[in-house]
Amino acid sequence: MVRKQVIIEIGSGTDLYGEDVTKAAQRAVKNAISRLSLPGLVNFYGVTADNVNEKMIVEVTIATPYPDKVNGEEVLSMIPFGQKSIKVQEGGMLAPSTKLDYDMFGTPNLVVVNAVINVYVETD
Amino acid sequence: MVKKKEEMKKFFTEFGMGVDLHGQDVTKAAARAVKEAISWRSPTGIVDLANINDKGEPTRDVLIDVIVASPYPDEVNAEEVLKVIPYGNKQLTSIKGGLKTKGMYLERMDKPEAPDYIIALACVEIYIDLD
Repeated sequence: MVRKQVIIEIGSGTDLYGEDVTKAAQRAVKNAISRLSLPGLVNFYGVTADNVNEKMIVEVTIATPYPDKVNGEEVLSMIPFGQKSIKVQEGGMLAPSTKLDYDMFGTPNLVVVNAVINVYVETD
Repeated sequence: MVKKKEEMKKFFTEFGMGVDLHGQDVTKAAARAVKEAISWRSPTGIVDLANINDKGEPTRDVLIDVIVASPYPDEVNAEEVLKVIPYGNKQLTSIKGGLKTKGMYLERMDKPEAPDYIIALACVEIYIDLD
């Protein structure tokens, strides 16, 4: 089995109220995968509906403030298929938000999260 | 001789949106849409699928088919838009679509005859010939 890299996707997501890094990370992943379709997986790499979960490998890297607070499973639920894994590292951005944010949630910042998704396929 | 896209296999499709705020320039909006479509991902698989050599040239046929939808499809300068794509055999189809909405007239920046905001959409398809 040889692992071949197919594509790298980049995305960014925010959570404006509540400093919910999991939500922002989900949006970053969604942003990375949403404007792209990969018929090449079927046309060139022999992926079918039956073997997609064995052949396709999806590695997600998230850069976020408060990396410990990210719920990896919830972030990966954004990706429809493949063998998924996630790595979370310190990064992203905290920026001052509105007074409303502070009054309602007690959080003074909005969060911006970056995502990079590497897609590989196992070929014979 | 490059084959037609119907004879090749599709690798992937990507989408983008581009705006021109001042100047009502559909070519600029279309170029930005294509730029957005191709800027957020890197199709690393193309290196072995198209068998790209040390000089960075694909040794198999690669066709990049761009569809741009804008409010004035006849005014889109295909050559200018396709400059955004770094390599491959490229072709562009310009269709009516996108969005035009009432803009803001600023004497410093605008042409008075071009007060509208223009939004163009782009779909970029990559085809590879494996034979």
